[in-house]
Amino acid sequence: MSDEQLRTAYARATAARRAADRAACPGPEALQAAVRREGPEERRLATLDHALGCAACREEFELLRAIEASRRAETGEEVRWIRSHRSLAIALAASLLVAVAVGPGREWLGAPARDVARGERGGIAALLPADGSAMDAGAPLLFVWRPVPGAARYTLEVLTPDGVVRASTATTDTLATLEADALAPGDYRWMVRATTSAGERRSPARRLLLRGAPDA
Amino acid sequence: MQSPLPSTDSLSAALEALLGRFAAMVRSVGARHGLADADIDEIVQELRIRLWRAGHSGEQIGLLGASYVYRAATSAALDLIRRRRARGGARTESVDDHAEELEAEGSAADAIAREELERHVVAALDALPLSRRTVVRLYLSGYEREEIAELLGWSEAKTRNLMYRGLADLRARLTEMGVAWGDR
Repeated sequence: MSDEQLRTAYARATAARRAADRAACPGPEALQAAVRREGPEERRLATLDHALGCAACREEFELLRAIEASRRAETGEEVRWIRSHRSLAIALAASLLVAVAVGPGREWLGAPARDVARGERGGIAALLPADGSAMDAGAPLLFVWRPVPGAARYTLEVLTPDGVVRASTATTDTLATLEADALAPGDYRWMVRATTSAGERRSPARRLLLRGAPDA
Repeated sequence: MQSPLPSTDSLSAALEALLGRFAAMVRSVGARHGLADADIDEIVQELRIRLWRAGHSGEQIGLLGASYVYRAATSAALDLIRRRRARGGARTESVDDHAEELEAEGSAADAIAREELERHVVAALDALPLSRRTVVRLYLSGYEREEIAELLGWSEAKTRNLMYRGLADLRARLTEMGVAWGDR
């Protein structure tokens, strides 16, 4: 048996486990605590162990987990798996840009002080792609950074190591995409400049390596 | 006494933009693990009502922070779960409705063999220590290692260690049960 067959067998087995009586299931608050990593680890593990093996709890867990993971991504808390999951990042960028294009709401990420507490002092905290990321060229690139209070505009720049700007775009949002053909494979640095009434603030330069497409 | 509901075009546009962004984000994150659109739609509708009733202006809606919106969404999701449990129902489309896609063609003997394998997998999993079992369940449910580390609050090294040990235990137990292990 392969890992894939094991996963299939597990999916079938858990799909069949749907408790008619939910008395033994953890409550919604326990599921939420597990999703938010609150409370003793032993209890969280027990909650997750049940939720992942119970089809009814799994649905509830996925709903709460998706909201929490989205919240953490939006508020800039560490979400390492999103950083590493390129296909998701691209899908997310496309869907977010569509949503933003619908109307106002560009301040969505910008309100509570708690949301902007982290990041480089006096600068901009760049979130995605992570510093030193290696990605395949030939696909849209998503860039995300933390909001700067009072910023009227952000300018994203992608430069060569010797400082030549290869791509640039301006936005009022805290994310931007570059088209698939915007950059050739190579070694780049990227940074964001925020224009505020008090002047300009910028993120540290982050390294981005674009790999050439494999031969067909 | 409830405050009068705001009803300007700008409010409506701001609200829909905010909800559109929220839905797109949650949908993107949840889709990988089978979160149903129906669930997201239900939360969005609940969120729409809550924000509308809060009496924000269009400008205020546009300035709402992510923390506020997600707090309201989490509260709406918990209420939804409580309501469903209270009426003993589930959502209209299940994560595990996708299990139907897993149904394979085959003879009755194949079906019996599959069911036996499923029983072995469940039994072998249940015998693992809790920490290994949880991480293996997450792996078998399609979570990537970094997602698991994030969810459990573990370092990647600890996650990798427990996952590999757990999977090794699981394979060993399945082998003892007579399940042949290999690439195919």
